[in-house]
Amino acid sequence: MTDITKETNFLDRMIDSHGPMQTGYDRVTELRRKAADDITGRDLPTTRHEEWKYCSLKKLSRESFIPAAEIAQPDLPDNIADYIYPEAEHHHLTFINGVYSEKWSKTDKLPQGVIVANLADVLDEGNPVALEHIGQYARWEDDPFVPLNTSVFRDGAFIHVPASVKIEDPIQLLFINTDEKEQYFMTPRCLVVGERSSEITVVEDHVGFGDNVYFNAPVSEIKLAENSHMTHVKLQRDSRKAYHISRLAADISRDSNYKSYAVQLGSQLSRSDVKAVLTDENTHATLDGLVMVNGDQLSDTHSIMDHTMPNCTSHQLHKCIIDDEGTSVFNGKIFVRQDAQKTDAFQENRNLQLSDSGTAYAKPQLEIFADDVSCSHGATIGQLDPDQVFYLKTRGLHESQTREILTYGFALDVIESIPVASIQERLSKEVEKFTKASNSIKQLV
Amino acid sequence: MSDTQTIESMVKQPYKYGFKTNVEYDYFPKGLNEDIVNMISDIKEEPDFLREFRLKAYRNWKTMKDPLWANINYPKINYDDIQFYSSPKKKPQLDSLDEVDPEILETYEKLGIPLSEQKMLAGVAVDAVFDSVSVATTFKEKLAEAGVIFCSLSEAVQKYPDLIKEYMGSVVPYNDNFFAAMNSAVFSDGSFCYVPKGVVSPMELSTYFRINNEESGQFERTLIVAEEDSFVSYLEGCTAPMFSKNQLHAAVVELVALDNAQIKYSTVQNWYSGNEKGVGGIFNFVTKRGLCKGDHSKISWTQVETGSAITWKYPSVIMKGDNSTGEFYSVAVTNDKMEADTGTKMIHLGKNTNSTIISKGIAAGESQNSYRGLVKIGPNAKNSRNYSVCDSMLIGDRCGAHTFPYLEAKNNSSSVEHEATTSKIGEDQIFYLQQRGLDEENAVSLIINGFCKEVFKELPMEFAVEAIKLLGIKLEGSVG
Repeated sequence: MTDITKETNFLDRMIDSHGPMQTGYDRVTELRRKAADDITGRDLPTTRHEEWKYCSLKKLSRESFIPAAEIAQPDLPDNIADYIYPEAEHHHLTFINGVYSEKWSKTDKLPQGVIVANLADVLDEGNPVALEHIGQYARWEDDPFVPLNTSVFRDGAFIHVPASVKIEDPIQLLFINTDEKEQYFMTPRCLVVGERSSEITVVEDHVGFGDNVYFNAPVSEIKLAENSHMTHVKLQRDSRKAYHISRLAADISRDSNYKSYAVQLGSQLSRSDVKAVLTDENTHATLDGLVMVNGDQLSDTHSIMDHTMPNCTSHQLHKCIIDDEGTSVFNGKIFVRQDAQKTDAFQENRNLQLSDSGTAYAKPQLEIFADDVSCSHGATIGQLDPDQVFYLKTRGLHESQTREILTYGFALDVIESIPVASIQERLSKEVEKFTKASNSIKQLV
Repeated sequence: MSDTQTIESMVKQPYKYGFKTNVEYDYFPKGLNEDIVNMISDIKEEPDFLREFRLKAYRNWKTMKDPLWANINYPKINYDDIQFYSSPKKKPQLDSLDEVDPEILETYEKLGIPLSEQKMLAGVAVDAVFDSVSVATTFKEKLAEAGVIFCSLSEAVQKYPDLIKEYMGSVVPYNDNFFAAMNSAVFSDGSFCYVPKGVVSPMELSTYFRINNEESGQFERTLIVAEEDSFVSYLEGCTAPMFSKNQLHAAVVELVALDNAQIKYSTVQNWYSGNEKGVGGIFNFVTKRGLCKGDHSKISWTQVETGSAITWKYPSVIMKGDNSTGEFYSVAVTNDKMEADTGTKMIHLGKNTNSTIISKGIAAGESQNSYRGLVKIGPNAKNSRNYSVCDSMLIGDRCGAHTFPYLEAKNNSSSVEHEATTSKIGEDQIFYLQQRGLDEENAVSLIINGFCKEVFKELPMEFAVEAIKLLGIKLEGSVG
């Protein structure tokens, strides 16, 4: 195995392992070919690359993976249904190791005209909307992971909401990764198109069942037409030994509102790049995030908020909790282009360091080319407030209890802004698990 | 709009200090190779350790590449076309200012630095550097009484080789970066200041730099050492004549503060920034770094950057001693096609170390103004604190303001706070002041002074006055 890694680089190995390129409609074939050409022979970025300064892919590049679809019979637990949020009971798509599972998916009770389906099927059928939008928005300079996904992706989600249709309950996309002996690799792809005046909530949930090594490289693309609203929640709960490198791009038109909440809990290495392009006037975007790392986890979030037109607003709140030897990285870029007068952009990054050996890196970044704007960012790295700790102790709590409760409180304001009740509940449990706060809360009650 | 017109007329003030003196030079071949480095060393009759230092630096430089990561664009510099050393023709040792070339003196007069008068009036010792070599040093006796050594670096190399050997390159090593390595190989002269134990320097020290002699780069090197319990405040001010060909300036400044020592380093930089179309102007690549070597030591940088076509400058503090403090106060103004990428690095290594960063950027015309700062808290820097504020102001819709802060913290008892804002001068602010009877220009000037106040108050009195004037000149008529 090591001989192979010496001969060919990681990206080539990943593409080659999928065999001959999938063909389909010209547009898709062309897209795949171009993507593969883009990265053939290229190496993974190193820490000398500014965007990867604090996130080393050395370990990943030495790993070998087989395409997830080749795993004969994934070891399925019987409680998959438990992972479906009650709100999404009637409309959810489930993917097991990146492969669409019809058995566990359901798309009832959707308003007429709404499509929620497996992307591979939709593309094979030649759905004009999917063919028009696929590959249009996820573009990063000098990035190998979108092309990697594009060249080999197969299954994924396609959601199309026709004009003026509002779906109140969330649509869940559940990505389950089973515990297997073999190291596998998957490239889920999501495409969401919201037509004029539509409204939708999508929950993207990546769950790892085991403690195994796999590589998850999802790409999501979102296109919102005029006056549409979308709330996007992404939970990353991959296995603690997994690699998760994701890309999310949203293209937002006039009068639209896009809200994204990304929560990173799992993976030994998770890297999440999110990008919102405000392409017309009077749009709003929110890119919130919550990251919790402990053990030797590394979580890296890079966001781009791109204001291209006047009178738009954006808001970002990104919180990181670092325990043990964990490392969190945040790079938040706000671009305000020359035409984007009257922009109001705000970004806040807070890092809570609980252990002496954890590391926090923050790089908020403003790049502004228009003068009549109000832009600001704030970043802090700190600990629990000693006054608050003292107060709780005077009320009779132990050191560890105060720590747990205050950490819980730190995370809570991101969680509470997520508009799906059962996700809030689920996340609260995850945070409790992380901070072991549950014990002390029980004792209080 | 009248606002815009006023702003523009302010911005478009021609460079006031553009003239060139004709002085004879020891001409040197262009380009850089080991022979050139040896020649410089020969001319300056340097001891072997320094020659070695230069050669090592040169060999390292050969293997390095221009740093291209900064947010600045400039044509590739042809290092073979630069004359790496020039100095006014050698003359016998001078005893008084009268012996100085009258033409040089006249240059200073035009700049408003009458050396002879300053001696009496200002109470400031001036070590005037004219194209790399010290021409005259005043107030030496008074400083000598206090035990402070303040002289040109060449003189220090001859008189105090041990001090130079100990400290030169100890903060900015010869292989630190491309421009520092180049400077280490070819530095021509500069200032040296040594404040002995327990001494508070009786006056503010200052050096005026001038760039003259077209096609010659200027490679200054400054070294300041403050022994235990001492204090020194150093001022540096620069203006340069107008030339159409780009000039390269790559200086190195090293500061060392031992236990309880304090160094305050202030700069006002107003080199020629090129014309409106971006032709000409100085390329300013400076490496400035201070080392808080001892416990309870403090290093403070204050800078007002209003000139140069390209500014690449990050005055840094390494807080090695426990309880040491680093400060950085900066106002950077860019106009026309100027580009500035400036900021600081605060490296916390010792326990209970404190740093403050206040940076104010003003961009006008078609300029690009970037703040780039690093705050790094090491695993052993327990209970350390950093506070940073970076505010930018944009004047006009064709300029850009950028903020690149890097925050890195590796322990859980320290705190780092950073905030940045970008805005423009509000019409309502101007309106308010106008209705209180101020004309538009004064209103704008008042608002800008308010914006920069936190930094100006850190400057020594006479510099603060100069800086406020400078800002007025730079932005006159451009704000609204």
